[in-house]
Amino acid sequence: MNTVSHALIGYAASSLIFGPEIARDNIVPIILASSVMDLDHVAYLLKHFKSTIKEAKTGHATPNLQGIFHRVHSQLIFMLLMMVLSFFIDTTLVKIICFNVFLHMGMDALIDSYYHAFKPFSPNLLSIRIFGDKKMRIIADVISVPVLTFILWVI
Amino acid sequence: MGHLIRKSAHMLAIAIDLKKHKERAIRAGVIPRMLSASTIIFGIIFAVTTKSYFAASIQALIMLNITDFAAFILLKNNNQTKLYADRMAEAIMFSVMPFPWYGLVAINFMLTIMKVEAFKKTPIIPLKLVFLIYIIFTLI
Repeated sequence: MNTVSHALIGYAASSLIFGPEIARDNIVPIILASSVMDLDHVAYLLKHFKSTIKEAKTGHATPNLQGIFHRVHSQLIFMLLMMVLSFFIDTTLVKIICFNVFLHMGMDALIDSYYHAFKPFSPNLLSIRIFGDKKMRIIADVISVPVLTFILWVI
Repeated sequence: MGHLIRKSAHMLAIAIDLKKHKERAIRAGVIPRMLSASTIIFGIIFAVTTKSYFAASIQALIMLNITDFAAFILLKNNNQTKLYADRMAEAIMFSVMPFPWYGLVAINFMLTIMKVEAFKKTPIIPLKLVFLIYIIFTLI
């Protein structure tokens, strides 16, 4: 799923859980938490620019695109970090950050084609793919941005 | 009467060939995928409903446990996907309630990594079930 729809879904879900006022006050942490995880794509994209464009045209997302932030061990470290932070900073902010990060992971696990979640330990690919392999996934990716923007605008 | 019902149920099972359909669906990966997806989706529903509608959140949690139980029976060929989907559902659910649950989710992540890496018989804490019992006790 693309980064913009992640941010929009994060904002919509946060306003449902924490209330629209708190979501509006914490819009920067929400957008950062739900989109920063995708920074690990940049290293791969810079290295394999041409092949990635070809794969995007055919609808095959490469499993190597997901970098270190999309792994189980980094999620473990993040969870421990959040547990320590919850003693020192505002609990609502910790909840917002944690929820948005794991919502991003959950959406990726549901929609992305292939996913190396246990990579250093196990080479197996995870494949839930509720939208199927190619066409539906691309259509969902393209349609999600205007639809979510419209929903947020109406709310 | 009882004999008639038993016989008709047996005839129906033969007619639709339940075992064959189940095997075919598992081989195609439809059931494992649907169950893995449903754990995450129920996790999101639980996280979204937990504050405003407490009864709805308990219903979502019960449904989550039912899907988990169904997955335990049906999923035998897609273990790592199920393990990861379960951890994601737990992390999404418990990110709404901080202290002890964050630690427990982290422990569960650690146990999962151990299970995948080396010790296949590592037990994993059934956190959703623990939380369901915790909710029932706090309600009483």
